[in-house]
Amino acid sequence: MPGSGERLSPQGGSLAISPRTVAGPLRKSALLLAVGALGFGGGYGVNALWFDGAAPVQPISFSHKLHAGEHKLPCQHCHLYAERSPVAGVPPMSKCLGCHRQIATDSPEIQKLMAFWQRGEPVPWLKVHDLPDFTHFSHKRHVRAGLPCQSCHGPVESMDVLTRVAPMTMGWCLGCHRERAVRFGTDCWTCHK
Amino acid sequence: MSRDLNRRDFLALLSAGTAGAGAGFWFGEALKHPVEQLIPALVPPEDLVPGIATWYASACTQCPAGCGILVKNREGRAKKIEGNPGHPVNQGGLCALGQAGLNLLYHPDRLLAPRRRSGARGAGQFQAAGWDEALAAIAQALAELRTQGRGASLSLISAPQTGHLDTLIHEVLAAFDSTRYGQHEAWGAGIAPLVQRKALGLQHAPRHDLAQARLVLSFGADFLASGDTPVHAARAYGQMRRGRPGQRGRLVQIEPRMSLTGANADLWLPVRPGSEGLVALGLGRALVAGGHYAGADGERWAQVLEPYTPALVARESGLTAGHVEALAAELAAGPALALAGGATTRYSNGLGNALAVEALNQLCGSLDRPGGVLGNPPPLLPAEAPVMDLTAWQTLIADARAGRVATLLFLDCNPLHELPPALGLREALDAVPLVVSLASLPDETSRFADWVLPLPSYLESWGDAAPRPGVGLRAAALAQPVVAPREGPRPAGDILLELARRAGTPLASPDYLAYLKNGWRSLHARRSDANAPADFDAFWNAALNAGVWGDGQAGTESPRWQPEAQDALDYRPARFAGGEADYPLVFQPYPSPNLHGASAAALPWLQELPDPLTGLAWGSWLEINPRTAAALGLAMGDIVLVESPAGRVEAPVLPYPAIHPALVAMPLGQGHEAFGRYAAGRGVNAAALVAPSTVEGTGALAWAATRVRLVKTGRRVKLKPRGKHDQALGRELFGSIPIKEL
Repeated sequence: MPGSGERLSPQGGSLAISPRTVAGPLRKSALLLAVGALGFGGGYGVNALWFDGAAPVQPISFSHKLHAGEHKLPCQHCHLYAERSPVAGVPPMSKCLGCHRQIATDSPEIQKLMAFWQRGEPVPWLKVHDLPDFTHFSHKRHVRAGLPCQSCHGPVESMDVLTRVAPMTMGWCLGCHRERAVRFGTDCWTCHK
Repeated sequence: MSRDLNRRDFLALLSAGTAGAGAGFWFGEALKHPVEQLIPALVPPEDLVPGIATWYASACTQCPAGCGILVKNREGRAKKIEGNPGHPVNQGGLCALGQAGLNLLYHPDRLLAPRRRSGARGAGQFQAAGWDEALAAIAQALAELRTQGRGASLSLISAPQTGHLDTLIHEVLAAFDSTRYGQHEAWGAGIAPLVQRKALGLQHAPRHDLAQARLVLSFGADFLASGDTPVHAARAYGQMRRGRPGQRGRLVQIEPRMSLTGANADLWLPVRPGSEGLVALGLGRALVAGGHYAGADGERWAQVLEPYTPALVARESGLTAGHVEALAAELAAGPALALAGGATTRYSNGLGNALAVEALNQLCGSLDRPGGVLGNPPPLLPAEAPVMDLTAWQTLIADARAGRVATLLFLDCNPLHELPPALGLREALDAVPLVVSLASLPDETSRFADWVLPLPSYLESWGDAAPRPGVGLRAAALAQPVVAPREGPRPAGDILLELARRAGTPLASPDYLAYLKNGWRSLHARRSDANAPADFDAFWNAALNAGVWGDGQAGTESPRWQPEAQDALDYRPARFAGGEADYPLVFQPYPSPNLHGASAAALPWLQELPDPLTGLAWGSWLEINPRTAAALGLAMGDIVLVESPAGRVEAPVLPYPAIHPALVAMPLGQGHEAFGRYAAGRGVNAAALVAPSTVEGTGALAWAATRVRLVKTGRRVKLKPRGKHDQALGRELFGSIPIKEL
């Protein structure tokens, strides 16, 4: 074995490894680590800033601006169950077809919709707003308390591509509950059942 | 390292930065919730709101009790089953089998397409086939039988039917000129119908008024776990125990193996297997001798009961004379309800035992009075076919062997597993040219069929169930599909109607729902209930909404002791298959409290549910008295070969303190060769040990009339009873201190 004859000895002058030879590679490793960490932060930042999934690409580019903004359809015209169920509900396909059998039938996006309908398939929309399964949120309570939909969902009527504007985190929920002095609004069991 | 960045270091730093950035990006991705989809309905169902449960009333048809259920549906999926509080049978309660109905709906091994046999019978080789092909082939065979004038060689055996499917089967068979329709239950029909007619003069089963009883004397009747209507009985039992302020009903259980009901009793008396009837006669004698019988025929009774002295009873049953006297004194203090059931009625002397128990009801004045034996009105839908007893099966098997059965249809039943193999049904099927099984799971009977037609589960079907007599009123529950049915299976009623149509003898109804509605239309027309809506559609909707409709108690019978039954009261010692020298132990298979339904073993929740008395699950075991086990050198978990004159099985030994030393017992329900992944290859079938003989004087199978011997195999398994301890280990169960020491 190379170097097996050399021994580390506090008394002897022949140390096998000098401080310089150790420090050199260590400094290099530290530099590599620092650059790696910088890259990590950068990568995470890029993800958080531009890839936050706040506006996922939907299978059909539905515009809330057109429906809720320009045509002034009330939210609950399509989100049928918001006032009577924990979930607001995504409009059933038959609802879309109710208008689009006649309206804008030559638009390529509507033709995509018709193709789904003719195959008997639902449109696989992607969720923009989604709470973790361990939180209990009820649309019914918030809508009946007179809260406008925009308080959480943002100015949907001006969005061509639906975009999440609120962080939907616990701190954000509690902030509002505190501000409005919601009864039992800060009890754990109100949301975590 | 020098100041100048060399190429190698530059590349290393670049790599580190890139890897870091990638990892950072990935980390950010990993922290996010996965993007979920939001799937809209194509056309929204009118009564479902996403996020909110919809409850549908329906009927459980997993056993013939006919309980009403409420099923929770969320977003089109059935999630939970509860008892329907408005149903007179279960009054909101539901047994484990009823709860586990969801397992049947979502069973991964459900049959979804018709199958045609491609290998030898019983080999389990099948090919998927289309409905058209299957129905055409079967209908053609049926039509040929009819045109050849051999309609009588068509036989249909069904699971117990208490609704309109029963009359439909009858009508479809009639269209093929056949009347050979039988219903099958595990073990076949019991002796109760004969006893109620012979002893009490009743057409329909009596109602045992547990709820108001002062003292219940149960001879082997395990009414809390495996009786005809366990949920109904459990509710009445609760009422008897603590539903009446100041009066707690007392329960005495007389049986050689402690059942769940026995474990609930105030006093449990293990008697020698087969001597239960003698105890009843001895108690009767004590009542008459003590002058407690008020009837005019007291002298005749005294004469009939004279031989059954306390000394004889004590000697034969193993009880002490003191026990008999104490029980007689309790009986003398007021009316008591005497019940016979379980093994007591299924020894060779079961008929005598049951008659002796009914005589006891007469002698202590319990007939036709509250807290005793009451009459029952006729059922709303009388059964078209009797439940087949052993004699009926033997006739069918003999006919099959002689070539007099050309086509055999099994509807939702599995007699090949439930009947003792020694009966020879499996072999007799070889002589039947066409065997068809309608089933929802691939059971043993389906393995021997030429065609297997898949049925939907009861949660996906229209149907109805009228409780059998025994609950005191006429009622019927409607079953409706509580979820969208899975594609593939077809309801039994629709299959039968389609077969009749294809064979050229269509019935009036286009499908089973129309048939069912017609049936309810005629129920509505002859209603006696003045409060029912006069308009049929309103009536139908009301019944569908409530899940059940009751039509009062018109035609309630009165039980009257039949003097001729007195002549039949003679005690004969029970006889057993197998000599005592070769087979020293009496064998008693018993319906498992968890697996007593026909489909139960296939349902994982029920397999996982520990047996309430032994704490064991997922298998079979042999219960034996610890003293007997010690004498034979057997310890817990030792695998023994259990041999009877009829067959042999291997099972691990469980020392069970609450069993007569001369008896061994084994739960039923396991030992499936097929029947889905949860049942197949698990435990052994206790029916394999049962020698097919009848209860003397009846056609019923005497399933408690076989002796066995145990042979050590030298192998053992570790039995793991869950949460069970059968010893107090010197500790007091309930600590108490006298008031003076406080």
